[in-house]
Amino acid sequence: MRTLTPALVALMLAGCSMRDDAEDAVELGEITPDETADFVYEINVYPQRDAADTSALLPQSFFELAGEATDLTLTMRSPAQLSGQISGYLVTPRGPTLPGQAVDVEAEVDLVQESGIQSRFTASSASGDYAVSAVPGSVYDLVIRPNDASLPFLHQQLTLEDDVVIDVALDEGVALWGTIADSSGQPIVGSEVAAQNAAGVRGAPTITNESGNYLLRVQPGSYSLVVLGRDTGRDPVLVSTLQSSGDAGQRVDIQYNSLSLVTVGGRVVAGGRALANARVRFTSESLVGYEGRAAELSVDAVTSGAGNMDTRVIPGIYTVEVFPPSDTSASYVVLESVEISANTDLGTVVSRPFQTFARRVFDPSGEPAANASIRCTELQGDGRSFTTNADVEGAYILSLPLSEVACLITPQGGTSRMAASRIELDLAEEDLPRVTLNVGATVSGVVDADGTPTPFALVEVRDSKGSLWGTALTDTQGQFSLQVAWPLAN
Amino acid sequence: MNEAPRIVRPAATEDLELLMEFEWNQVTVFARDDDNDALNFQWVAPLGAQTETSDGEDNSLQYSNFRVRRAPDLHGTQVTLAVDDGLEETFVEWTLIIPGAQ
Repeated sequence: MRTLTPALVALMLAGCSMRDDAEDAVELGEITPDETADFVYEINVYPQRDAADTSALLPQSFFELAGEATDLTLTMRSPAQLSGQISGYLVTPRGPTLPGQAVDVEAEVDLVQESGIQSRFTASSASGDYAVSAVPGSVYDLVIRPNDASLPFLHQQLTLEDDVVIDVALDEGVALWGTIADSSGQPIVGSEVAAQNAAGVRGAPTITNESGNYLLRVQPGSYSLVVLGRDTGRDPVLVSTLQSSGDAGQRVDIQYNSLSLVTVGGRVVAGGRALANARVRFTSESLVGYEGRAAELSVDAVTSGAGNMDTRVIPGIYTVEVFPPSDTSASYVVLESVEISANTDLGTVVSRPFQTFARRVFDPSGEPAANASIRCTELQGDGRSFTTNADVEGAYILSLPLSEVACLITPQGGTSRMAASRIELDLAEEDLPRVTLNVGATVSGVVDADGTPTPFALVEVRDSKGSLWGTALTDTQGQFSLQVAWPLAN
Repeated sequence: MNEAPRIVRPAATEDLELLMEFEWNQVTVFARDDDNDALNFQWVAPLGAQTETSDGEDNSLQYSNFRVRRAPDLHGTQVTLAVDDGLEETFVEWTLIIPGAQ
């Protein structure tokens, strides 16, 4: 067993090698890489698993696929477990703990990868014990975020190869402290404040006391102070520039500019009738008095039965969005660069009703694509999805919001050499076109683990933006086959 | 007489929990329709949740995959799946659980 301190982590990691793609336990079959292709695919595999079984296979991302590929072998690696105990040292404890006492730490424990599907999230117990399994052979960002802001959080890279027990001593860290005040210098009581490192990882927030003071403890390093404001939800979120904590801690005072509010209201209608229970979100583009500062404000209001809403915000330029209730046929609305400098009546905001489209789907030879499935998802708003199936003549009817949508049109299962087509368009500006399915390129192979086939695993192919292009299930022999649109095949 | 769709997997359709232990958390539901009707899978997720669904079929099994992005405010909320064959519906419901959330 090893005890991990922040300094030791740095030493350990200095000797770690980054993942070499050649180490991936994936054997390529017939594959024709295309160096000029402007996008590539990623394969993700989700095994059927019982969450209670810690030895069960975990979702795993594979290489970037750059051409038609058959006879792939996707070898799932058995999870490796990182476990141990987390302790800290409370310099300024609250509650029954004695000052200067080592304590067990309840914390969120995350193993994070920026892309792919292998990130893991768990929490330590009240006694500080933690255990998290992840796909080995990868570099992760290990984040240990104590629930108590008077204990420093840890963020380090970690290469996980095998089961390992690491006890983590967070120690006491160094202090970041100061005062949050309004524009007249009066303390702001009850404002949440958190430390955020240069990578954007944020510790647990604390709350300013009756004197507007806050105290956080961090590992020595550079941090921004994120002032989340009071629970009124109307204070801007302020993010300071990076401040070095030094080895002895750092005082950082933060002062708001004006917090005076103005009233903004309006009415939302859809199809000529009042739209009730719609969320109206005001998101600042710039705030009066906060020019040149990282300051953001987002306030939600809900329309009444008569479609009316009003709320109070700091003067500024706002993006105003209307999110219709999910059970209505009303479109998402966005109004950009709305100036709210004084009490403002937005007037009537019109949410356009859904439009019904009757269209057909064709195969690459121009014949109707029978039974193709059509799934359109809003790219704005709440991301509502709308699905239907074409009939034997490839005809379908679908009612869609007049906003930006992405539609995936998938051929009937078992249809050879046809792949899904994907279109993105703004239905407020463009008409839904007729769709021709793509010529497919085969991606096939077997999913196994330790030489044993992995049945009923979901295999999905995504592009570099994360958009889905195809899925398949492995059979009882672990074999899968799907067709994806390939740029060179079009 | 129409036969209602049958959920083959998960085996139970009540008191299910979806542990949000990944960035994207997914479930795959397998269903069968003895009349060989095409099944429609309709997922209902909490407002504001980032979700994605995809459907497919494999031999006589039809399946729908649902994935939802981890977000702290989803703890304790519900996701419901309705599987219908155009005439009858079957439901499955999950409670979303964030590890460590109170």
